[in-house]
Amino acid sequence: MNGALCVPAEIDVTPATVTTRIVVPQTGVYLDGHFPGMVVFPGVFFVDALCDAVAAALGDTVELRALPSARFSAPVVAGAEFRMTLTIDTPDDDPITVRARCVRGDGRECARLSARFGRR
Amino acid sequence: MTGMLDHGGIRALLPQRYPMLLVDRIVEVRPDGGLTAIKAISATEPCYRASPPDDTYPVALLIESFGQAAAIAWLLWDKDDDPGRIASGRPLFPLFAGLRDVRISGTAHPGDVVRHEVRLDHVMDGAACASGRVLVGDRVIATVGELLAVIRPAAAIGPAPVGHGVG
Repeated sequence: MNGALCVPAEIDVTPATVTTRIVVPQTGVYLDGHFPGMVVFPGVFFVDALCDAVAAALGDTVELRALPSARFSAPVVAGAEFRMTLTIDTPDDDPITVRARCVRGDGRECARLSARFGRR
Repeated sequence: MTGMLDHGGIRALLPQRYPMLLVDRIVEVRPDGGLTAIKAISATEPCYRASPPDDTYPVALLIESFGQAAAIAWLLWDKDDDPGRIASGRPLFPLFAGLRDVRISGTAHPGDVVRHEVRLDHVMDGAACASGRVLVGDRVIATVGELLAVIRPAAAIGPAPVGHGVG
């Protein structure tokens, strides 16, 4: 299971939802290259954070199979933070379907994703 | 028409830098704007620093690599409009705006050479749509139904950059 390209500051797991808070640091191994002099949280890192949240709820044996949709609607720059709320719609099915909504600290939605996972 | 772009040429187009510059070479540019790009996976990459038990290359970075190949296709297609707009000194940043119908069917590991076959589907003012697939050898490990990228000036993203590192 992928994950851990970004480390959440907080994570709260319930049977059907996972909420994480991620603060974008001023510097980081991958962030320093995206972009030099202006750190912007990469859109694909929302995917990584989603995988991390699913693993926290369902364990490391689940793997990402599909992203039916992902929308990145507002940038999150260094020093800013966002909360991801993940809803696991079908935890016992295969595939497992999940939805995530990410909101910046200023209240603006920054990403919305839907994904399907399977068990290895 | 075929063409090749080496890593220096890629650096002249994209503002991403190590270790987030995830395309090594463009091996073919097609007349319809599509291209083929390659990225070699190495165990020396930072994602392997902690010696994870699973050496699968992160899916997020695989998608980012495909996205950067698509951005290169866009910038090469659009070059007649503004050939040096990335390298001109005006900080412009290509950003993911969306993805649709991405399917993951395999994995990549250190030692693999990932090949992106990118189709440039539509170019608009300040945005582009692409699609394609990701392969290791003959094995398709991902398909991208639609990728939407936009290009934004630094002022539209956040605080003023402290020295843009392009070029």
